[in-house]
Amino acid sequence: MSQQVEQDLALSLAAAVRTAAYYDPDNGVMRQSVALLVRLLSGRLRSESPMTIAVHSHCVFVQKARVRSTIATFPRFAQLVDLYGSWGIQTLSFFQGLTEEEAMHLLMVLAREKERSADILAASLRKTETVHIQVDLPESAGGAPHAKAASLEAYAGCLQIAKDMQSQPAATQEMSLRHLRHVTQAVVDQVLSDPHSLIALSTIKDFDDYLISHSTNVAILSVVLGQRLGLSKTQLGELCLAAFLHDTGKLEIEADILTQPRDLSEQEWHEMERHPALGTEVLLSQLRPGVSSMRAAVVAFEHHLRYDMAGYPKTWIKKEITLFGGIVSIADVYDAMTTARVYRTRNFTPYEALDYLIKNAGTCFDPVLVKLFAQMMGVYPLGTVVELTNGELAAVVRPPAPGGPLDRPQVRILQGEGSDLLIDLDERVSGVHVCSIKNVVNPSNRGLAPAVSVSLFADGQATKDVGCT
Amino acid sequence: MKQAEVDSTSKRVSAICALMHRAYRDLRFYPQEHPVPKETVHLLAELLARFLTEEGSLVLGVEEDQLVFGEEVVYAHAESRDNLAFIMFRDGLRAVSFHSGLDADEIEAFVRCLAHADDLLSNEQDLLTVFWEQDFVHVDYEAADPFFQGGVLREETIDTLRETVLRRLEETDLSLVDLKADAALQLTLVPHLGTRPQDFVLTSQELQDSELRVDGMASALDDFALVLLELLANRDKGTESDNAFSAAMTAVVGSYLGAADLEGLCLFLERVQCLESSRECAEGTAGQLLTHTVSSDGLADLIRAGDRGAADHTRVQELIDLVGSCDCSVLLDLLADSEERNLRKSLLSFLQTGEHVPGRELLPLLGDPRWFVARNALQLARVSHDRLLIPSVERLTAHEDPRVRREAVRTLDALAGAEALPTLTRSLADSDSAVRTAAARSSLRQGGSGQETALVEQMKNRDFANRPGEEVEAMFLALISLAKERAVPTISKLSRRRFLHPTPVAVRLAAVSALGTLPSPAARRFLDEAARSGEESVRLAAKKALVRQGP
Repeated sequence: MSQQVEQDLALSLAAAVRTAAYYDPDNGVMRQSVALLVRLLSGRLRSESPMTIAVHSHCVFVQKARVRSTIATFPRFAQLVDLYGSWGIQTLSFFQGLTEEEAMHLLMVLAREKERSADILAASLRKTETVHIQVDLPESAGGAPHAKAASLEAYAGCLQIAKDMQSQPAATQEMSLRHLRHVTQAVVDQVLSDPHSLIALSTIKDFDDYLISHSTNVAILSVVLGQRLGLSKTQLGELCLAAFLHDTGKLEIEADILTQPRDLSEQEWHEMERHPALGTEVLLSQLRPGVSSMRAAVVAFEHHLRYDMAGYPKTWIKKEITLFGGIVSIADVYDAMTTARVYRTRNFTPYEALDYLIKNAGTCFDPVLVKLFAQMMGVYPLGTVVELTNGELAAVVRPPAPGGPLDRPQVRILQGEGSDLLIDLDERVSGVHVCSIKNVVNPSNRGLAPAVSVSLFADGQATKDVGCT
Repeated sequence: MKQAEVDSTSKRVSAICALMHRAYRDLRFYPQEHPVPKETVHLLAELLARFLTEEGSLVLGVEEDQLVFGEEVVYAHAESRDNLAFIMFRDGLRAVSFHSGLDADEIEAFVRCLAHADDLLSNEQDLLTVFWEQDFVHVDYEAADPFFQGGVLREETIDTLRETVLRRLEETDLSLVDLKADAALQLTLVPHLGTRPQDFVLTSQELQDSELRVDGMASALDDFALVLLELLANRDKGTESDNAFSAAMTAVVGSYLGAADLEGLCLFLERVQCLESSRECAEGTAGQLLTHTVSSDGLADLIRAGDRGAADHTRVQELIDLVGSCDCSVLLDLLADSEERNLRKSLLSFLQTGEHVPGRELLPLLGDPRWFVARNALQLARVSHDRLLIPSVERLTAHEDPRVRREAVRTLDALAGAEALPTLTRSLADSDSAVRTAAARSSLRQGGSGQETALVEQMKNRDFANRPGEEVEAMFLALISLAKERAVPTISKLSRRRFLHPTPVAVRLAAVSALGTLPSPAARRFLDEAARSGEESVRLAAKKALVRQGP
C-alpha cells in the first residue's frame, strides 16, 4: 500500500470523527464523510485480514506501517492520536463487509460519548451488532521505562544533567553522549505523548541558574516545533540533543560577562559573540563523530545566525541556516525573552516575545518556522497572564487544541472563588463563547506565571520511581 | 500451572531463544539480503507467533550471561562476545518482552540490532538508543537505569524544582490583586500588539516549500563540513582544540569516503583548497587531509569508484592527483602491492593521466623483482620525463622478463632519445620479437648509421621472413627512415617470392606498406610491380599505396 493511501485513510478517519462531533447522522456532510471512509476502507478489504488503523508512541499506523505526519496533516493526526488516547485504545480493525451504518455508529460514539474507555466502546459496538469493527487495547501496558518516564522526570533529568555539566567541568570533559541521549530521548518521548506538559514545565524558568533551565527549555521548545514539522523520532532525538547543547560555548565565557547586570561593553560583546564557535569546538573535542554530534556542532555554531545570514559568527561559505539551526534560534530567543534577567528593567510576556518573533520573521527568523511556532503556542503562549472578559485574572496553561482557534487557550484562574479552576476558552454555550481574553498583563514585571500547578508534586508522583538503579 | 506444563513451556522458550541465537549469528555473518538469515528469521517469527498466539506474550529476564523465563534458564552461551544475554545486559537491558502481532520484519529488526551491537560502541551508541529509534510496536524492554546508566535522578533535583515552582507561584500570586486598584503596583497591562491568528496560516506555497525542505534536509555530514570550513577560515590557530579540529576534519573526509560520496568529498576538498589559495589555511591542507584519512583499502574503493561513470572518473582523477601531490608513496605502494590486476591497471591509468609522479619515487619500484611492478614503474617513468631514471631504465633493457624489456626500450626512447642509441641498438637483437619491434620503432625516431647496420643484420637472419608481420614492418620502416633509397633493394629482395623457401605474404605486405612511405622512383617501381601481383591482398595494398603517393 502506498504511503499516500495510508495517509488518506488515517486522515479520512480523523475528518469523519471531527465531522461527527458537529453533525448528526442524517446530515448530508456527515453521510458524505462516512461514505468516503467506508469507500476507502472497502477498497482495500479484499481478504479475511482486516484493515487496521492504530496509534503507537503517538504515531499513526495503517496496516502496521507508520504514517508520517507532515506540516499540513499534523493537526488532524494529532486529533486522531488524542482521540485514541482518550479512549484508551490502540487499534481499530475494519473487516470485509463493513457497512456505512456500522461506521456511522462507531464515529458517533467516538466523537460524542463523554465517558470514554475501550470497554465502553467495545460494549457499544457489540450492542449495535457492529461486527465488522474490532477494538484492540494497547498490547502491552509496559514499554520501555524510559519511554514512559513522566514529563517531570524527563524535565528534571535534563536539568540535572545541565547542572552537572555546568558545575563540574571535569564531568563535562567526560560527558557521555550516550548518557545525554537517554535523557533527551525521554524528553522526545514526553513531547510525543504530551507536548504541553513539558512546555508548561518550561515556564518555571528560574532553576537556580539561567543557563541550566535555558538549555532544557530550548530543547523542549525545539522538539515540539520539530514534531509540528513532521520530523521522525530519530530526527527529533538529534534535534533535542543539539538544542540541549546549543549554548555549550557559554561555559567557556567568563561568568562575570554572562551575569553582568548591565549592558555589555564592546569588548565584552566581542567575547560573548565567540560562544557559538567556542561551543562548536568544545563539542568537537568531547563528542565522537556521528550524526547526532554533527548536528549538535552545527546548531551550536548557527544558533545566533539570522535567517538573512547576518548575526554571528560571521560566515564566508554558508549560504543558509540549517533547519535545525533555524528551529533552535527561534526557541532560543523565545526562551531568553520570556525569562526574567537581571539586566532587564522590564521583562517580556510570552505574548510580546511571540510578537517579536513574528515582527522579525523573514529577517532574523525563518518565517515559516515562526508561523508554525505561533500555531503551536497560540496567540497567548503558556505562562501568559491574562485578564478575562469577566474581569478575572488567569494564566494560560495549555495552548488551543490542534485545529482550534489560536486565541482561545485553556487557562487557570488565578484569583477569587474560581481560583485554580481550569477553563477552556473555546467552550461555548449555545454557540457563544463563555469567556474571552481582554488583556495581557505582566505580573510583577516577571513576564509570566508558571503554567504548572504545585499539585504536580503533591502526591509524591515526582519522586516515585525516580532513583532506579 | 502444573510443573509439566511449565517444563513444556520453558522448553518451547528455550527453542525460541536458540533460534534467536542462530538468527543473530546468521545476520552477523551473511550479507543483508542473503537467503540463509532470511530463512532463519522466518522460522523464528513462525515459532514466536505460535507461542504468542497461545500465550499472549513472552517475557525474558536478561541476566549477565543468561536469559530466564520465569525462574528457568532458557538460554546461555559460553562465549560472552556472542552471548545475547550479555550483549543486552552490558547496555543496561534487564528484560525483553514480545507481544502478539510480532511479525518477521519486526523480529528481524530486533535481532539485527543485536547483531550490530558491537559497532554501536564506536559511535557512543547503545542498544537502548537503537531500540528507541526502532520504536518497536510489539517488543518492549526494561532498562536497569533508564536515564543515567549508573547514576540516579537525585531527589534534590525534584525538590529544588518543587521549591522553585512554589516560589514562582508566590511571586506571581495574584489572588488578592484588585486589577483596577493594584495595576500600578503589580501588574502592567500589555498593549494589544495586533497579533492575529490568521497571520499564522501558512500559504500553500510555504506549505509545499517547507515539506520539501523537511524531506530534502541536507545530510548532517554536509552541514557539519560547512561549519568546519567556516571554523577553518576563522579560528585562532594553535588553540587547545587543534587536535579535535583536525580529527573532525579527518572524520569528515573519512565519512565522505565511507559513504562513497565523491561529489561531497570533492566539493569539501575544493573549498579547503580555496581557503589555501586565500591563505586562510596552510598550503597542502586538502592533500594532507585526504592522504592521512584514506587507508589502502579506502584508496582501492576510491579507484574502483572511478569505473562508475565519467563524472566519478573525473572526481577520482582529482582525488588521486590530490593524494599524489601530497604523498605519492601511498599510491605507489598500492600499485605495487595490490593483487587485483584491474585495480592496478586503473590506478596506473590515473597516475599516467594526472600529475606526474616524481622520478625519485619510482626508483625503488624500478628495482622491484616483480616484473609487473617494474613494468608499471617504467610506464610512469615514461610520462615523468625525469632523466634521473635513465640509468635504471637502461638496466631494465636486460631484464629477464621480455615484457619489462619492451617497456624499458620504449621508456628509454622517450627519456633518453639519441643518447640511448647503443642500448637501443642492442635491443634490436633481443630474443623477443616485441622488444625488437619496440627497438626498431625507436630507431625510426632516433637512429643513426649504427642502427642501419644493426637492422640490416637482423634482416639477414634466416628466420627474419618468418617473424611477426608487425616486427618486419617496423624493421622495414626503420630502415627506410635511416637508409632512404638504399633500403629499397634490401626490402625488395626480402619480399620476393621464392619457390623453395616461400616468403610469407605478410612480409610482402609489410614491404608494400613501408615502401609506400618512401617517395622515390625505386620505391614506386616496386609498388607498380606489386600492383600487378597475383596475390590479391598485395595487389590491393600496393594500389592504395600508389594512390597515397600520388602521380
